[in-house]
Amino acid sequence: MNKEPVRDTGVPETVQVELRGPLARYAGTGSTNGRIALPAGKGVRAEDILLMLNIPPARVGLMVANGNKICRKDLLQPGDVLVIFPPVAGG
Amino acid sequence: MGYTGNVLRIDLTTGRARVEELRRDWARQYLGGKGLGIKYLYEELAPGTGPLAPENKIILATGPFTGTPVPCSGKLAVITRSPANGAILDCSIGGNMAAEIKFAGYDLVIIEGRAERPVLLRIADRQVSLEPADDLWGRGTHETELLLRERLGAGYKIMSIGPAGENLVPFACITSELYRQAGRGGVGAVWGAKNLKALAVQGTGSVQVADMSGLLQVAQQALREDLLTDTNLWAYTDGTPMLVEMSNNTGILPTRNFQAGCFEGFDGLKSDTMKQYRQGKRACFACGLGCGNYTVVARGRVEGPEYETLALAGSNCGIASLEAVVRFNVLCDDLGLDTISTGNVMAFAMELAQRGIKDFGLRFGDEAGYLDMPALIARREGVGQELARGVKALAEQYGGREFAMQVKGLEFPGYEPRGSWAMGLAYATAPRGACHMSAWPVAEEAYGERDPFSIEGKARLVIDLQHYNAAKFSLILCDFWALSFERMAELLEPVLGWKPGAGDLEKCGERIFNLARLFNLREGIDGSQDTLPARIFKQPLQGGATDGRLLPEESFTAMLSEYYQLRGWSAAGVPLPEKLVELEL
Repeated sequence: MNKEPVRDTGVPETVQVELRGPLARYAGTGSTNGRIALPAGKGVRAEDILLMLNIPPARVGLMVANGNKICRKDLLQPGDVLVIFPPVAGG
Repeated sequence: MGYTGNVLRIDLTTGRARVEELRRDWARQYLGGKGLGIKYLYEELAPGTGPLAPENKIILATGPFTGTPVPCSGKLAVITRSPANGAILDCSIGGNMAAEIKFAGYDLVIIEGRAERPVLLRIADRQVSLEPADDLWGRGTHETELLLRERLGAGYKIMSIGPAGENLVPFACITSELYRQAGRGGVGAVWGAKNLKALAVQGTGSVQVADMSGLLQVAQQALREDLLTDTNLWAYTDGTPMLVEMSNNTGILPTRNFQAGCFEGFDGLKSDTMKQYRQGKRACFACGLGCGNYTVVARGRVEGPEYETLALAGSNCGIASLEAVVRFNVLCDDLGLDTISTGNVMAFAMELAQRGIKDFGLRFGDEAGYLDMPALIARREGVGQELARGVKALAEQYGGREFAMQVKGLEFPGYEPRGSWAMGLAYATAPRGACHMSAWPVAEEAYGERDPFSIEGKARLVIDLQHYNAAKFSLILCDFWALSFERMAELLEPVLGWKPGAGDLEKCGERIFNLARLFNLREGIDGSQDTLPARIFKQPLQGGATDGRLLPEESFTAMLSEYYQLRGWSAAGVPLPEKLVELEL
């Protein structure tokens, strides 16, 4: 994504990840509501974020970064917000 | 095994009830629920029977899994000819009624005729009676159910209609256990036409299966391996409100009568907002998921709102307040109105006003007018007399056909076809009209990895999903369980005592879908009605991920043509003789 990285603090540059539904537990016990910040360095692929969180690929459905649907290979920049939904059935 | 072998038939005209033997040959070919109900209706209903005529029938159908420990098997199918459009209509309703009917000793209950006065149909195992219900007529479903609980005792499961059904509104629903609905196609109006105010059932029997120990083992395995997993548990953690955010992000959230696919006020309607008001979770009989969100907002109590209500009565009406949507939901449930069609009617009237065509006093985002209208519609009072006719009839009288969001007279569910092209094909070809239960390709397209703006492979996708859902809703299993045909067959073996092949189940789905098509063709509903409103083909969406998108008419036509071909139907959409032979139809 093309958003400017956050550079104004000493805090590590991160991607903000929001895990929806049952995926929230992959954020770990320290998080609330499935929200967690992950280091992004100079950019990180969505699939790498899944690996960092140990989320099996089959458990992942729609991924949205800054309001736009993305693919697993897409690169995220520090400051981006990634929302990950589980697969869904029914409607 | 798995079936009781009994069909209860009640004639409301004569007051007579009799028990007949289940057609087991039909059960083998059509399974139960949706499929078996359609088969009985197709065989028994004389062509041309008016949906509101006494001769129309209401079939309540259970399935081989009903009343067993098979997870997600709590739903009941309701089959009739629709007063919204004359098409075949099947709805399903959750809760406990299906199991209660099975415990009372019946696979199917067939209701025909018309009572002279409003009646309560009471079934207690083999005792069947019609009791006066004049004192209940005019009351909402909540009050009706609470009065009946008091009168009959808590052991009965109850279904009832509200004023909308009594007044024959073509999008009237049936409510059960206060918060569950058989929503679409005006099934409540068929009850109203028969003077059937309510049904109360108490069953004290049991369901026999071939191998109980084997069934428990398979059911537990299914629970562990593919029900209580991240793939299905979203239904428990969030339920359908989670789809609001997903649809908004992918540009398919109906907004202001489908003028846009994203809504600036979606934050107020999304799952995280809902959770602030959620008091608990509710589940149907034998359910391992519990998708129901029991929500209390400003004294309004509801099991929901579900995504369809949040979309059609929320964003599609320009309403961003969860409190307003909950109040609308409570009103519709109590009055006996389908929230999907009612939301569409309101939104259509709002756009008529926006364009200066006709003013019914409704405006996008105006909560006061929006909350006043359900009672007027249900009671056919004031402008409600007009709106109670549905979107198609309103457009024919006042104009706006190009943005009358309906197919075959049934209003659109909450997924924008310009951002999910296969969903457009599914709406156009579903037997009951614009329907999201016949097939739901949104999961693969807008929410998944398939290109939502392409026709490639979409005809096959929709056909496969239509067969899958037809089989699943005949067994009956809940929509929210994404299980395979193989798993269905594994679960059936200890129930029936023999194992159907996964391919056989898929073939059952195809047979059921084709029989529904034959029913519609017999009633003059042909391929010319397999289409979408002009807005979808000609008016680009505004804003969000689908900004500027259409479903071009030539792309739709190509998809439909491929669909007919793959189905073994003629270019006019009629099943060819060799297909009928193949399906034993």
